[in-house]
Amino acid sequence: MNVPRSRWGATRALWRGLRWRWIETTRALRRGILRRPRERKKVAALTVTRDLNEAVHRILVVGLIVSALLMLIGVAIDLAQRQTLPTTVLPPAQAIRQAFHLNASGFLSLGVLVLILTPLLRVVGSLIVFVWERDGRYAVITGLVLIVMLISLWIGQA
Amino acid sequence: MFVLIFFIAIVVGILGSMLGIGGGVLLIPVFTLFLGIPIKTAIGATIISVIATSSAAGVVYVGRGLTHTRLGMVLEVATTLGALAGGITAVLISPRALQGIFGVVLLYVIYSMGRLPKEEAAVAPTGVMDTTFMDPLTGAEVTYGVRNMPLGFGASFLAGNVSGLLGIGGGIIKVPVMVLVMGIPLKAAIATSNFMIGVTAATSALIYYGRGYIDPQIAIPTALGILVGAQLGPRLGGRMRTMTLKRLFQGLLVVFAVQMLWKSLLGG
Repeated sequence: MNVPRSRWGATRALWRGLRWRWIETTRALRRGILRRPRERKKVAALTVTRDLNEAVHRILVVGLIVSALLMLIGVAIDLAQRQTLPTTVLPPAQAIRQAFHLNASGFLSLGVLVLILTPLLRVVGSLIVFVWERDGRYAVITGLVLIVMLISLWIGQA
Repeated sequence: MFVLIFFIAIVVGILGSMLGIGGGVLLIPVFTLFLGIPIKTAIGATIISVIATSSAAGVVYVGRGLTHTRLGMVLEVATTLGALAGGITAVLISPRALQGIFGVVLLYVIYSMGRLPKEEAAVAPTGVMDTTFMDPLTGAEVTYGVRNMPLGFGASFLAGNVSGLLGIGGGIIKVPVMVLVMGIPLKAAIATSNFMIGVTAATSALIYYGRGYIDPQIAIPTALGILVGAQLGPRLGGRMRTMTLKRLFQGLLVVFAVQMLWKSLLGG
């Protein structure tokens, strides 16, 4: 019998159960970013690296395309309206509001913002992969990079 | 203005991708000296285009498996710290000082351009982060490890610092150190350096964005133009002699460096 001995044991058992459920569901998504950790243990380290690269690859592609599209929409609206635009980018909340009103400045700012946030998302993605793989050392390293980026985000706002 | 910047950026993107040099080195002098754009706004614009090129090239490199992702992650700790410090410094110091520093760094770039290592030193597994990739040219599998990590870490901090301060990628510092000191094959070093550049540039770009140094009317045509140019560059590359191009480019940069230093010292 596998009876949990303490409260933490029970939590851990529950966590494992949830994790297994999650793994089973994602298994169907063959081309998903994350693969089953057990499967992974059997294969060479090279494949792990390839999985990681694939995840990173996807974030970069999507971020770049979205940002280029936003910029092009902004430029198109700008050319159609020919208004004088602000000479600095807008703060995120204002940019989203302006974009909803179909103003060029909103799309232009959002395009720049998505471009800047793509590498940040890439770091978050890598962090998730390392935590999932239980690779503590690299999770900490990637966490450090993320912290530095968040500090600069905060300094920019302050 | 928009269209003019777009075309300048295309030309710079073509030149940059043919010579393996980022656009910032050439764009910032053109923006400040000829278009009269304030240097901090020029840096804000190029840092955005640096992110764009890094993401675009990363898509190709990572897909090919050339990037040493784990090494990149470790060195990113250093480059982002450097970029953070550089970004703060750039916001605080006077434009004249910034111009002077740019001139000096430009001289280093000119010096090191002719000296980019052609062949790597002996590449071998060292037991530190060993990895294998397939050389796209020869089809051979290359296995290598990392050497002199502390020195590489220091150089990465410096590269990140220069990148955050001046809005350039910083590959010109990282790649030679990775190849000559850390024992990374040239192709892997270029790919890994490019991988780090996106995160590094984004770190300082966050500061520039928040502080209002990014002008979308300058930054966006720059980013789009560089992206277009970087696609065209490799296609045109075969028709021109790279060596002649490199000499021309170096000559141009010397003129720019002198002008930047001159303006920094005398004001104006």
